Amino acid sequence: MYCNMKKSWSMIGCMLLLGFSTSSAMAEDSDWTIKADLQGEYGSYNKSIKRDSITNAGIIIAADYLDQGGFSLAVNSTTVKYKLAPTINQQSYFASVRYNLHVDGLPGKLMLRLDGHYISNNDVTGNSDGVKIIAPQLAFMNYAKNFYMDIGFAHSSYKNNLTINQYTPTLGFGFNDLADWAQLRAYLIDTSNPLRAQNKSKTAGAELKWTHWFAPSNSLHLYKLQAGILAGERIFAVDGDAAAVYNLADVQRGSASLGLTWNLTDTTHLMVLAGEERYLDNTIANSYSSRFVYIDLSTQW
Amino acid sequence: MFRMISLCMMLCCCNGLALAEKVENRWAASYALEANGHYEQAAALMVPEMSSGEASEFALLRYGWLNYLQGNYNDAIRAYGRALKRNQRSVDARLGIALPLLAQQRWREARKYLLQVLDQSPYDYTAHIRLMICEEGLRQWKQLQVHAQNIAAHYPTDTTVLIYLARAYAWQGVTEKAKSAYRRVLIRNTLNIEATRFLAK
Repeated sequence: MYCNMKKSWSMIGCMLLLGFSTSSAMAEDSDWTIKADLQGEYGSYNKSIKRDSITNAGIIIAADYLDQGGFSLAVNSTTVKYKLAPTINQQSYFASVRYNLHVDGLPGKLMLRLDGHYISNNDVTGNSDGVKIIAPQLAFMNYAKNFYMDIGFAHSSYKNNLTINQYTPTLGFGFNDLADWAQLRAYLIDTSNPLRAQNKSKTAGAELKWTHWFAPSNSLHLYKLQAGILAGERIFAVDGDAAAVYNLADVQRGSASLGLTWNLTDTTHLMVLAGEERYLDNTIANSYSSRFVYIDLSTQW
Repeated sequence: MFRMISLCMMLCCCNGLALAEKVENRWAASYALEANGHYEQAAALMVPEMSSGEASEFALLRYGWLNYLQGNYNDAIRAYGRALKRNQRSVDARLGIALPLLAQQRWREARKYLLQVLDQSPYDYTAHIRLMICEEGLRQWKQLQVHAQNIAAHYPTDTTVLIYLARAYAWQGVTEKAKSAYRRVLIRNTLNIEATRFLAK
């Protein structure tokens, strides 16, 4: 099963847009910066023997107090249609706290973060239901904002005798007057029970993301462009950037995506992202892919 | 008896004078050490003055400043914070605490204190310049542009405000207006490197 809270941390709720449209001036005066995102996704499986399509909708709210830290909360609903088996409906819940440390002597700030996920669904096998994940992260960003590194860990508990440990060392670099950002993250995943993990005791993958921010005066009101590729393999991955859990039991064997974000107002953005993910169901030797479109509307006040 | 009392008074007087002299020497020594770049020793001389007494608020402000100069930003923030608790009306403490916060790129926290200064004193030049640094750090180019335009009208001879105005235009891709602002900079400061380089592009 696939908890598909993916792609971006930036989306908004239409209801929040309607209920809380505030001026940027007000946002400036508050000690709290609150961001809300509404996300939606549709994906179609290609050459999959079992799966047909996936739809996903969710809302994320993130609140930060000045420069000191903050918290995020998210709920997400996913529906996966199967060709022969019953449809699976899934609810995902996410909570995160973060705290920034400014240590004299370090040329940047340290960021401590702790994420928790809980996923429930109607999977009759129970294999992807009742998933609990705890994911701490220690990150460093230099003051010039052109270097970033983090080390992340995620411990996932699945029913029927399966636990997953994931290590994600990450490097990020800013360049071109910080108009561009490149980030490389390794996914090193150990599974406790290969029989429950497509006969995999461990997987290794690497993800490269590139983001380009446009000059504010561009005539198309473009805010940023982002592209990402994943090489290698990963299974039961936890994506810290997207707050996404891949609780689908199949092996992910690469992906590519491209997204554009527009400025709707000074504080409201719309992102459209499309991509393809490749999977392998090792138990029936079925290689298939998922093509998806993802939309994210975000606002801040 | 009278002699005893006189003697005691003389001793107290002498002790008082010696103490006053010692205190004055401490301040003078601290200033001298600062002037020679010995910020740590200059700050250490402030410590006995910080806990209580009529000079404690000033000693805290000075301790904050001297720690800022050393790059001990967290100590500086704590000292300015203590000074602000002693005197909630202090503009100096608010302007002071903004310095280490800016050094740590805590733009939103610095902005909070600077906006408090501007609430008390709407055209405080230092607060406006430091607020522009926050806006630049937060990459709020449109806001920086409007802010700098407004302050340039109030301080028409000032170069720094025009530099922020030029940067705001340049980041927004409004090149002609950025050039115009940089030309105004060069009229006021004919050797300004940033303006010269931008106009030479």
